[in-house]
Amino acid sequence: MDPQLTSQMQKQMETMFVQGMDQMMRNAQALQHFGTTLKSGLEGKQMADNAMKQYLEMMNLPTRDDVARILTYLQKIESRLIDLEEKVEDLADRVKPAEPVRKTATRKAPRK
Amino acid sequence: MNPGGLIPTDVLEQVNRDARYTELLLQNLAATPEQRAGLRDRLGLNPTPRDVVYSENSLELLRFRPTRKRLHKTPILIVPSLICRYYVLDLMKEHSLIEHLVDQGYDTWVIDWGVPGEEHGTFALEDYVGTFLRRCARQVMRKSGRPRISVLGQCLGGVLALMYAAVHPEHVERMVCLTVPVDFEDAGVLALWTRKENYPIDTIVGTFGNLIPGEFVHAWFRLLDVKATVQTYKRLYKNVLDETFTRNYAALDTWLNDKIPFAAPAFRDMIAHLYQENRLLKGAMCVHGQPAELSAITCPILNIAAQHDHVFPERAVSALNDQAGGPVEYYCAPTGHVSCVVLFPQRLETYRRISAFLA
Repeated sequence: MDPQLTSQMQKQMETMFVQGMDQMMRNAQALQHFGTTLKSGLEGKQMADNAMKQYLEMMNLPTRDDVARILTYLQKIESRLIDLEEKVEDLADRVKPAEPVRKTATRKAPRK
Repeated sequence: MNPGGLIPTDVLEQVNRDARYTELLLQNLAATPEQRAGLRDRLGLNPTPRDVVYSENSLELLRFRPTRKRLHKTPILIVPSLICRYYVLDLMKEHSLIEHLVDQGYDTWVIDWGVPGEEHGTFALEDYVGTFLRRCARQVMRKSGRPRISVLGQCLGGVLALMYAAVHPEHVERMVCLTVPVDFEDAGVLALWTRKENYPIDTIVGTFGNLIPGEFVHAWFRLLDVKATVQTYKRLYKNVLDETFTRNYAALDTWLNDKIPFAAPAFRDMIAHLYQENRLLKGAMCVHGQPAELSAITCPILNIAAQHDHVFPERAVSALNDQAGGPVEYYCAPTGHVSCVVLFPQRLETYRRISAFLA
């Protein structure tokens, strides 16, 4: 086949593909359909996740939520410690260090 | 290998070209985090020396080591996006905004948000601003001994930075907004996709739980501009035997594929409050009960948009010019969303404008 003709056909196909995809990505109906399909897929995933969660609970094994709960507690403790650190730093900034007491030199009267 | 010269040279070259092309396409697709870290090291990504001066949870506050006697007193805190890793701003040697700022004598700090864990399932956008960004800014001010800082926000990180500056204008001396969307109503294809009737945000958050997987967040980005995506692959095939070109491509591709999960409440805020309700422009965003209105930002702002930005069109970014309370200097780079900081020679103009503004 003529290489020039092949190249022209390739370019035309590429242009058609690009234009078609761009139009689809901006078409309200297509996007609504994607949204519906996405929602259905996610609901299916939710069912599978719930089934796995029930199985793990039945086997007395920790679920993802259990792990997340522990990590959240740890994060809250860390956050409180950081808040306390900040308060201590602010307090330390407010307290001015006491100036050292200067001893004035005294001269004893010379013994006669 | 061509025993006895049985295989024609041009066929061998074509096979070599195709093999190299396939290798480049696939090296990031199925890479594990460890493999990607190895690839980052081999390519020399994120090269500018730094120290971790503060860390909290997955977050690290990085201070970049100065290369000359510091000339500028006000430190700069860079707030990157939550969607991607920060090192696009420090991609490679001489392809790095951070390296440029350090070389210009700026005390440069960056928040590395890290890889969120399950405990991030309680963090909304206001927590990123009112807790994490506030704490990092405090650390920068205390450790540098300066009462005010300059802030550079990129993409969604710029939205966080704007909210911080709105709530704490007394702490911000100057601001740079790098392709930061403000008006989400007419924000291109992403605004269409995330409309209430098209994007079941409650089902998404309810299904994924605490973290939205990075693969889900990034799944559609290549379809934002199909023509540009096709051109990228064509250009790669054409230049696949050019080492400099393929190294640059591999660097950006590694960063693009370094997907991180997104905290579910923050993701909901981004979609529902920013995209669907356009609260930032309307002045309805809050940070722990305090309103975050753009008009409360009084510092000078350099607002940089990208003319060919397929993620946040120019009109979504330039809306800040009329909303901010302080003076706004506006520059529209003739580049795309990321190429304003990585593409040669356009990135040099971006770097120059940023460093000149902050001086």
